[in-house]
Amino acid sequence: MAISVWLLGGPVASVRVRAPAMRTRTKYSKKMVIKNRLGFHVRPVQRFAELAGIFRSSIEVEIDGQRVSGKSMLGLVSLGGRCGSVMRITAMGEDARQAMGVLSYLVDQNFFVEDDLDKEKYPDRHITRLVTFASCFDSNVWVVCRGKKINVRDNEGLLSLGLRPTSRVEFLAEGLDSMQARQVLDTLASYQFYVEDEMGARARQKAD
Amino acid sequence: MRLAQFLTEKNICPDLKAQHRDGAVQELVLRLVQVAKLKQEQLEPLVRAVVRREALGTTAIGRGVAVPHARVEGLSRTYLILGLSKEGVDFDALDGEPVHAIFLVIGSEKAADEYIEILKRISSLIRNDDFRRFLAKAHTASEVVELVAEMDR
Repeated sequence: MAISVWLLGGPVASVRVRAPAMRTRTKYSKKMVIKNRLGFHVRPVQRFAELAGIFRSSIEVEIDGQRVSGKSMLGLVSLGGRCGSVMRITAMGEDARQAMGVLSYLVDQNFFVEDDLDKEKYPDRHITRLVTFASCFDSNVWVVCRGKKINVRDNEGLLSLGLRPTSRVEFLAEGLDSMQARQVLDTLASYQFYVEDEMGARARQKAD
Repeated sequence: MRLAQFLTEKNICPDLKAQHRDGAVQELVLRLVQVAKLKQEQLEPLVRAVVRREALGTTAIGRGVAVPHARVEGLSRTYLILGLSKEGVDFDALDGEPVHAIFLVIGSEKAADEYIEILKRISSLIRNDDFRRFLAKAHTASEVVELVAEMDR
């Protein structure tokens, strides 16, 4: 971006300002344990690869000395991660921190696989997922639903929206990582926030 | 464990007719019902289970391959049915490409590790360029069986 400096009615200098933050190459690495009963099967892998694919950074996953791209379903399935396997996620690039935030939350939450989840206990898990994903980004993020626009940091406002996993929502984001933030949240909403009963219900309607 | 244990000629449909996911699943499950000697009335619920599972995220893992699956209570072992399609089947893949090889995995609730091992072996084969090239040229079930036996070691 070029900024001209004016003095006594005329330009005297032109200063080039570098865009901050997102230009910096960074590397983040984290070891995590796969906790879900069926291991790193297709559902976890699909969710991981799709979210990883949103980021510009390179993302690698290593299990038992075998390392593959975190954006490739085929590569990730070939790791054969089981319940208890240790995976190392490495993200390198301008949005590595944001990628690591999103992906490590996904792994920590058993990839949102709900086979063994006590669903009654977490009726608002779709909102928790939305807020946590949004908090991985520096951008300001708003949810637009039923004509209302609410900042995701506004807890009371968010609850007042009466957001359901199947609600039609739109996300607005403003900041250096707004594109990735919107894509991550759009993906989340497109899968009914990974609330699997709702995803299943939609599939049943289609199949029956 | 070797994939050859699960893939005999009768477990392979070398020329799928369907061009869409649900039709292809129907063809594969029909073959499973014959091979596993299941009851005819199990066909539709099994097709529905596999299609519902796809709604939780596509099983098209890339390079033209999908691994749809479901678990069935009371099944004594894991079954694998492979369907090939020269035309390609729309499987809602992340890369948007049609799939040409569909490995249907039907397992029991208890055999989680066996399921992960089968997926690992399928994906390792698919990552092998030679395997994919030869698979695309295979016309008969016996050619596919030979190919898998030779390359899955």
